[in-house]
Amino acid sequence: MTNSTIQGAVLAAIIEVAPDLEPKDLDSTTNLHDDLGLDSIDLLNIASEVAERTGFEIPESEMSRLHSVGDLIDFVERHAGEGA
Amino acid sequence: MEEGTILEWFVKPGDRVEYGDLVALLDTEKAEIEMESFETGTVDSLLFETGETVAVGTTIALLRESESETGSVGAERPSDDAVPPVPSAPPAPTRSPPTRPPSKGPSTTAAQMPPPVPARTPEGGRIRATPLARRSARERGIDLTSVSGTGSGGAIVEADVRATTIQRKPERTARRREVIAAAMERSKREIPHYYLSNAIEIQNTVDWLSTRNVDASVDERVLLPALLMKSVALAARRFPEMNGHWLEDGFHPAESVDLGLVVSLRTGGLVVPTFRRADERSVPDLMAQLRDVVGRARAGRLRSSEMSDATLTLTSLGDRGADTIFGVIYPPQVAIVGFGGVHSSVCAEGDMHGTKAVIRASLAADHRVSDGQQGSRFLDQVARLLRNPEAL
Repeated sequence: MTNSTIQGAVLAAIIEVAPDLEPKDLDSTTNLHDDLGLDSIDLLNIASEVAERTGFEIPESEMSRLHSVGDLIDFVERHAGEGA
Repeated sequence: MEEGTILEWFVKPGDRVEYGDLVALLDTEKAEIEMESFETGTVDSLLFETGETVAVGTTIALLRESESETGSVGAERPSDDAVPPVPSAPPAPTRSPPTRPPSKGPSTTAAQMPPPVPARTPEGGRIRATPLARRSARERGIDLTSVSGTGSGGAIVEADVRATTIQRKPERTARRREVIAAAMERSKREIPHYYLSNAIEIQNTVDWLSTRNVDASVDERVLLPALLMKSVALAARRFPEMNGHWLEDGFHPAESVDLGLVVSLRTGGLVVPTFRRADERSVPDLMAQLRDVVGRARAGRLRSSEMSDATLTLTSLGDRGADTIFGVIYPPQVAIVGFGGVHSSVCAEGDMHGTKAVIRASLAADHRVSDGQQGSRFLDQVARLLRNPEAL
């Protein structure tokens, strides 16, 4: 899976959970909590959507460390490639 | 909720529908609501076009239960969430069927409730729109008859749907705010509130969740809100004076704990879906429903049956919220439990001091039904339950 595919999958997962958002609302520095207003339930639903699209499950222990859209994409890119 | 606009029909004449099947998407002042059938049968006719606005209780489609009988699908009234009207009679059963028209013939019913003139009907009866625009409109709950097309020959393209969505956000937000304001004004005017608050040290609960979730798949994880819901629901079972409705003839304790959960919408406003018999449900079951319902609430896809009367409401500010929230009771309920965010606080244990996770619970309750002592014991019970998550 290429980085571009992963990036597309993560952005699609966010918009699936928050359909009021537009792709233009999302860049790497966009904060998931403060800018997008996502809470823990939204983030769990995003993790579920990411898993469905990429086959990679973000570990629970990492969830609280992912603050921005860029954090999320970077983490999935790094670890999905390892076949985690 | 007084009326709703039909955004989309999910069925057409001749379709077979079972009890609980989704039949239409309605736009109400609070959110889009997916309306379910409260009957089983074959669709005989749809009495309204998409884009038309109908009053609550109006028959909008007719079902043929057999060759000789026709039933109705009404704009069944889910009780409102932020503005639950004070009923003049005890709340309706959870899934009561809509009022059946007195006559069984569709033509007779249509005569009694003549449909208004349909909204703009496109030439040839079909709106010109790209498949992507149609899908986008469906997902966003936008009626294509209200979208101006800018594509070839006036066809609606996806960008037109998005532009319409953006234009409508402020309208919907303002409408929701009016509805919430009306309900809260009424509550403050009619209900003698009293307020209590309690800081609950929940380090054990937070640790238990971390341990439980560490090896769990994404879909099996449990979050704190599910534990808050179960704790409150179980406590309400032991304190019936917190769980029920205040009606014209006084307080009616509820037989089950149907817990309303305040869900904030990113686009502004709140909706309060109901979790039926929350006290009887397992934590994983509540968690699964929580994820599903919150996701659909924020996507504007709640179902009519999920907006029915709650007997008690829970509001939580979430992970990063302020310390405390003092809720305003949703009439005709008699209490609302609030939770602030989870914060680290210095706690003493014997001679030792350490940092622990603390959440502050609050209770706003109706003085016509309970007093501070009862409320205090209720909050203590919530705390005891919350500190022992393995027992929930």
